[in-house]
Amino acid sequence: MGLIVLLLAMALTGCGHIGLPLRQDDLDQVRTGARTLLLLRLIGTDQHGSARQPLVGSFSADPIGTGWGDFESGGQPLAWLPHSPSDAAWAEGWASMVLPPGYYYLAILPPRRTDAFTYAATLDQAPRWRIEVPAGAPVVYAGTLSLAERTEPGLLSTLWVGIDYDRSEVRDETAAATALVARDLPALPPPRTRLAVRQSGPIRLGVPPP
Amino acid sequence: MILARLLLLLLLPLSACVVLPVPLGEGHISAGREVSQESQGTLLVGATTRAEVLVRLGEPSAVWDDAGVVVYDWDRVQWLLVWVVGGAGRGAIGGMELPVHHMLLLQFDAAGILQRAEHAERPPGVGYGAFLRSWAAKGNGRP
Repeated sequence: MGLIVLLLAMALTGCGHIGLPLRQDDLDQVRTGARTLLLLRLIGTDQHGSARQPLVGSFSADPIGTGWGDFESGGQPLAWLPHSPSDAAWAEGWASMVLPPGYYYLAILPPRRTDAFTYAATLDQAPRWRIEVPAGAPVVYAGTLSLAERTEPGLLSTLWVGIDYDRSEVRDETAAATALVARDLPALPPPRTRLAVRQSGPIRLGVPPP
Repeated sequence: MILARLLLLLLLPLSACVVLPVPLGEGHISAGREVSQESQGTLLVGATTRAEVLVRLGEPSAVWDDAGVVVYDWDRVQWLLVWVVGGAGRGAIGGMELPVHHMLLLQFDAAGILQRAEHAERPPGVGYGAFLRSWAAKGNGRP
């Protein structure tokens, strides 16, 4: 009952979620080469240069919405709860997943300005970025998705209200990703960089070339 | 499962809820781009190349290069599920489209020659990947 009330409260308030910690058995699979640790970073910057961790909500800023598509969904994004290597990494915008090689699709929705059900229904129309995880790479860094967010003056503070997708870009911060792995996941090798690209054309399925 | 469905049917009248499936005739395409029967008829197994398919049918919905599979998919809605809920002095009505997931599945050999062509309807509740994997496994031994 308490959980139901909590979930209802989250839906009503537009709460964000915390970065889930990486599970030990998942990391063991990375070490044995059975799966790959994917790293990507999300940063929101408004038109005045103010930055935020866009997956975290606050009094004046709802979090962005995210969806994740894969082979099983035919690339269609479904609700996604990212993990993160550590609390410090999460605060810096680092998200991670342990998964098999393949093509993946990250969908990004602007902060929610409507009810939860209407918002969720827009996920399959959201702009997507294609992420390629080749076989044989223990750690892959898919880039830093710098989201150009729009803010508007609110009654008490500035409100984060939308995303300008055309001005959003994927940046290469390989050095930062390498430092992150050395700091939080020292048992793993440095990441191989494979930058995400804005999806267009046919959905690609299967395993990308090395 | 049968008992649960029976129970649901018995409960529906008690809740003053009516659910009515309404046929829409030809219906409409709610997602994707339909490949007509005529266009499908131009594809010849053992002869048509992948490049020719792209010229005739346009850009596909999905490609699975590892298995030589190209997919064109679209949803056609031919039924609308209308629901009406009544209460003491109040009521509500709504509708939900019931799409049929169509897929034109094409499989090519390593030389890019069409080996299989099949129009299929993906059943409700069966995932895209599971359906595609199952279809490809019935083919020429590629994954």
